[in-house]
Amino acid sequence: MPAPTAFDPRATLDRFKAGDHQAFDTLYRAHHPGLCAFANSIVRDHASAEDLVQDVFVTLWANRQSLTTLTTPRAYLYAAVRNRALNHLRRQSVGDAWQESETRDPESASSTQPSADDDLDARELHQQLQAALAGLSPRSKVAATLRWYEQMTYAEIAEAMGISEKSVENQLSRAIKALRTILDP
Amino acid sequence: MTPKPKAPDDLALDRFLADKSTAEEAAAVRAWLDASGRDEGVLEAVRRAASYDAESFRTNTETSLAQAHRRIEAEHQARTAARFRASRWVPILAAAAVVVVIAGSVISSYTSRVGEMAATPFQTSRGERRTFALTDGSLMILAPQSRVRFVDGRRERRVELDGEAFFRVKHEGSRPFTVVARNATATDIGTEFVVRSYPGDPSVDIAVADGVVAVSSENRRNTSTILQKGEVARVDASGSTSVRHDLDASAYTGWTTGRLIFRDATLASITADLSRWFNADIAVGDDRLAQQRLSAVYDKPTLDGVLAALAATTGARIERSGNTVRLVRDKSP
Repeated sequence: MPAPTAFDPRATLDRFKAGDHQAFDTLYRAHHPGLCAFANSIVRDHASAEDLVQDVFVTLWANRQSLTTLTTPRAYLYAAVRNRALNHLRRQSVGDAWQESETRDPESASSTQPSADDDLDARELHQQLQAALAGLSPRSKVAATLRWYEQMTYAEIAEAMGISEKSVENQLSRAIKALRTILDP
Repeated sequence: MTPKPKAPDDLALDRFLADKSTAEEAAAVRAWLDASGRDEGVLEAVRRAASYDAESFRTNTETSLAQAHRRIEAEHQARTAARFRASRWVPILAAAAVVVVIAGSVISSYTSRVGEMAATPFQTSRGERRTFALTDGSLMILAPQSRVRFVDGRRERRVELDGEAFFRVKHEGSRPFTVVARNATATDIGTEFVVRSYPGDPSVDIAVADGVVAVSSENRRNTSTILQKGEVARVDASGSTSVRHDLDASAYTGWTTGRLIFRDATLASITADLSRWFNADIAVGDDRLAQQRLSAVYDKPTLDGVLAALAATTGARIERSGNTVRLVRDKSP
């Protein structure tokens, strides 16, 4: 389920920066589950993922006055979590291996299987789609996740991933091309 | 048989998947899917395939939130205590084993795992400035887009820096604190100083806000230059070091308190700083404009405010496209 967006992100951010604890809680509740899953997709360790997401929020609160975001607090949070997750990997000296492991980790290919009561076609379709996405670069895959699952705007994804909007478009275009043959057999 | 509807282009499909298409466009995508023997379930399947482990990743947000509240409260108390203590030990007790935690969420949660001897990397992204309490009790503030490796060793404390950082070093006679940036080395003799070495900077600058720093360069290791409070050393690519006494150190340390200060800087270097500071892509239209020099102080800088001021001073015009801002020479006088 995408993170609920029933609150005004900019207004919440302003209240957050002004030191409003409720705004902190609002952002935490809205984005914590998605951020944990996002972090886990990079560090592949539930406990570390939860720790580093909490670190991001606590650090952000300490530095809330200097917080600047081009788009939304959500994009900022994803960018901060991504940075910290990559740092975490570097600390373990496996940062270079990430790009490889992200595309090849067998766990990622089976982690979101449809449940047993789905019919066979759905299961086969799901496997085809995941195989198509697994063939993408980690960048395209993350862009696809943030766009179609989190339903972010291009500007938000650009901020979250630290790339230009044009690159976001290119990455998504690649992902769409990978899916086309499945959507239109 | 009706002709098959035209396939939507990449962007139209993308908008549909992100739930951002117009009603008309959505209808066209549905018609195309229908003709291909697919229904809307396939798009739900794409979203699910694109999700990470969200379904399998179970986390208790409320428990985590309560824990975050406790950490914030603990750090608040530690910070208050640290301020109180600092005034007493700084002048006298050089080797006191007082650990001061200042906004040290990262450090406090990771040192126990990493261990004191390990090299710990710290970094900031564009638009981010952060304060770290190092494991030896020193304080470091990292400017945007900077990266540091810190080795808290038995014989020395060594920082390798890319970018810009401020240090308030807790002096230890038996373990010198050394900052290495490109070909320059700064060793503290109990002090506060800034080292700046961004890629693109022509030299490494070391500015002393308080105390004394010894500066040496790679090919002249044996001679070091002693810098006093208020002095700035510049180590160029050849390793030669020049010192200026007439500069205001605040031009170098202002950023640590959120001020932006430029002194006789080219527009090219100013926009490079602004890009890092505000996490924005700012370019200058032509070389002549880029080489214009100016001085300015911004106490509470906002990107729009600084850009407007720069444009007014240099007679440039601001052009925006997407995330990129360009300063271009205004043709009309």
